[in-house]
Amino acid sequence: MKNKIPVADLNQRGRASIDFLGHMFHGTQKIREAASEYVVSEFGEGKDLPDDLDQRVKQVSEYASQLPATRVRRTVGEWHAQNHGLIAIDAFEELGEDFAKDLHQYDEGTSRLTHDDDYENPYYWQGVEFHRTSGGWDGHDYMGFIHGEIVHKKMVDVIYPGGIFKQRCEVAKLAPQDQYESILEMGTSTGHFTLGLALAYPDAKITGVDLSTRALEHALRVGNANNYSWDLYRRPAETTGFDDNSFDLVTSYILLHEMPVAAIKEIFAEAYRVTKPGGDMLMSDVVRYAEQNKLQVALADEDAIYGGEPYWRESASADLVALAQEVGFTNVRATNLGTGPYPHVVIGTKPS
Amino acid sequence: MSLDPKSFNNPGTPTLVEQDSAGLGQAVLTLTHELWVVIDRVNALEGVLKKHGMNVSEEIENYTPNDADKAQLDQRGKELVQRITDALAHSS
Ligand SMILES: C[S@@+](CC[C@H](N)C(=O)[O-])C[C@H]1O[C@@H](n2cnc3c(N)ncnc32)[C@H](O)[C@@H]1O
Repeated sequence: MKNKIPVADLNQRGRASIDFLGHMFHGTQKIREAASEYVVSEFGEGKDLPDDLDQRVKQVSEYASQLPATRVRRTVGEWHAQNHGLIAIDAFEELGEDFAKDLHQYDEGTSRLTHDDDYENPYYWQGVEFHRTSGGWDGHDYMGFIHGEIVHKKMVDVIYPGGIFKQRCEVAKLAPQDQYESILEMGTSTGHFTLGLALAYPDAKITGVDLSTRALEHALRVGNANNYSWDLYRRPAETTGFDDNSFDLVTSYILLHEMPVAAIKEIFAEAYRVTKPGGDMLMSDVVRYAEQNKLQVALADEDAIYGGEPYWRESASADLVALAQEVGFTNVRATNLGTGPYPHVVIGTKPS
Repeated sequence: MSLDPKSFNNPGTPTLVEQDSAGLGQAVLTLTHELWVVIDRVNALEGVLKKHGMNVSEEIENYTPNDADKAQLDQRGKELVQRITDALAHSS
């Protein structure tokens, strides 16, 4: 895939710091395994653990705390949470002002970004540092580049080599029809899934909405650098402002776990409204708690609490199939890539 | 709704407890030892290069390890983390 956005050839400090995050991950594998075996050998699948999730997390967490490996695992996790964003920002700033200025050559081109400032950002988004991202999605003038090109392509890639873009490409291909003319992506961010959609449906006109100006600015540059005609809007997915029946596919990738269920319902209703009769929806997100055993849920929930995920619990507990049916989609089913439960993909159709 | 999502920004993760402080001391010293070996080595390297008339600081900024070098660095990085975290976990 061509992507002419300049690759960040990091300076020594930035490169070594990002490599170090990889070393932290690989170097603590045994500690993570020991911590996991400790709770599994005590609780098994967690059948006897409390149903109440607060109580269950507390019980598992307190038991796990007895093992030094658990406490060290958490220490390392907390260091990573506090430092990964700062390391990425430092690595970017080390590249110098000229590097940042050069990015603006991609501000103009075949894609468009419309800032729509007539609404307030929702309370569940404003000021929240999702994933413990330092400063949040708009936390730096070049946060889009920092997150899209440094965190995603360099840091995450060390942990899941080549994996996360490939997953997006494969999920894009799960939509029911071979081709689409017009696609709306909700939660476009820096355009990572958008690229997957563009590769899967080369003839489609792609429109994207997101709340983050900084992320969309980068998506715009990625679109322009690749000569794609993306139409991007800073607008909430709940109220996109598009006409009824405008798109033949409405889709999102890991947007929904960052909001309360009430917002998911509004977004599904909006997706239904703007989908053309006979068109499809495809929404992918994190693994459902219903697909995990009681111990796995307690562990995932604890990770979410300390991992900057205020809505993980309520979102992962939601039955997305039922929510999609409630707003009118038919033939709704859940699927995944066949390699594991992540990502959880829900597909449906608006009746003709 | 009572939940303030911003409270997740600084969640107060429980990490080490008092009984870990002995291990923590060991780990800090282990780290200091490792760091000193590296400082000494960089100093030696720059000294040797200077003796041969080479000023390398800019090249170091832009240096990209080749695949073999990278594999070796990854191994050493992983081992370093393992040594430090093992010291933390095993001596409490
Ligand atoms: C985890 S990112 C998803 C990234 C992207 N889809 C990908 O595949 O990498 C979630 C994005 O959703 C956006 N978002 C959250 N709530 C939103 C809403 N109500 N409307 C539009 N975008 C929203 C955030 O600003 C963020 O950029």
